[in-house]
Order: sequence, then C-alpha cells, then structure tokens
Amino acid sequence: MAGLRVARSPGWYAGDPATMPEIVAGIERALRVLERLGATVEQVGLPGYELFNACGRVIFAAEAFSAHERQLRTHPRSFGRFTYQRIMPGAGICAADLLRAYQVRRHLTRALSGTVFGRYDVLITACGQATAARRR
Amino acid sequence: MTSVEREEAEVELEEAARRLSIEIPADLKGGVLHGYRALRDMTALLRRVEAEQQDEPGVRAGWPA
Repeated sequence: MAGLRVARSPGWYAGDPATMPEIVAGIERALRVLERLGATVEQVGLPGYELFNACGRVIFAAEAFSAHERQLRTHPRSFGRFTYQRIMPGAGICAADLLRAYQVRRHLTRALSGTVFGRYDVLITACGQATAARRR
Repeated sequence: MTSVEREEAEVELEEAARRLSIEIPADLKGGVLHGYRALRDMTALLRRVEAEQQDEPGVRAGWPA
C-alpha cells in the first residue's frame, strides 16, 4: 500500500442529502486506513456528478431505444415495466442532444484522465448512496 | 419544470411516438413521460455546459458547481 496515490472526491456525494451518513463515514474510515498503511490521499475537484449522470442517462436512453426500437413497437409487453419506462423516453432524444452528450462525455473523460488518472493510481468515491438492506 | 414545459414535454413525446409508429401502453405512459421530462432537464443541462465551454477555453473551465 505504501506509495499508492489515492484521490478522493467527496464533492460527488458528501453534500447530497440522499447520501446516508454511514456512507460518508465509511469512506472516510477506509481512507484513514489507507493513509495509515502508507498511501497518499488527496482531495480532487471534479466536474459535478450531475453532468456524468446526465451524459450516462441521455446516451443510455438514446442507444437503448435504437437497439430495441422494433421490439418496443411490436411487443411492448415483452419488457418489464421498469425497463420499458427507462428505454422508451429515448424515442424523444434528438440527434443534436445525443451528439452534445457525446461531446460532454469526451470532456468529462479528459477531465478525469487529467485531474485524476494522470496523477493518481485510484479514485475513491461512493458507488451508492445507501447501505445494504438489512435482513429481517 | 413549469406546467407549460410539462405539457410541451408530453406533446413532444407523443409526436415522437406517433412518427415512429409506436403506441405506448396507457398504463406505462405516466412513467415514460416522467422519464422523458427528466431527460429533457438533462439535455438542457448538457446544452448549458457546451455554451460555457465555448466562452471559456480549457477542459475544466465553465463547469457548473
């Protein structure tokens, strides 16, 4: 672990009221363990998470609709409710908005490559906002 | 999102579906519309980012906080 360069980005999750406090505390605890073992931990500033989310959602909806268009037309009930309602909105995305999402994605990729992966070995952040459900 | 924007979104989605000869089942339409309105907000956000980047050179300039 000694010498490992770790980037942390609490701005992506810590200020979001939807993030459970246990998540923030757990990550901070893990980072302290890494530091104790010899890793260098530094905070980095990244473009807002909502941009990554918007890119992902727009590109997913447009590409998924394109891939499943025929089935959505002929057999809409072959999809589960949740899946149908995630994919079908992609029908309304115009080419200009999809191309813009690709363009912003390229910028976000460069920002991540330059700010994080050019200087650090790993980025530690939250991959979920809630803890695992407890079994009753 | 204002009520006018909500109505605009519904009209847009209905027109897109009609143009593509897709009939959205009535019981699924509410959820599809909800998702489409969210996508509309997201595409608006992505458009604002591009405008700011044109004004500010550099990859990291102009990101909304």
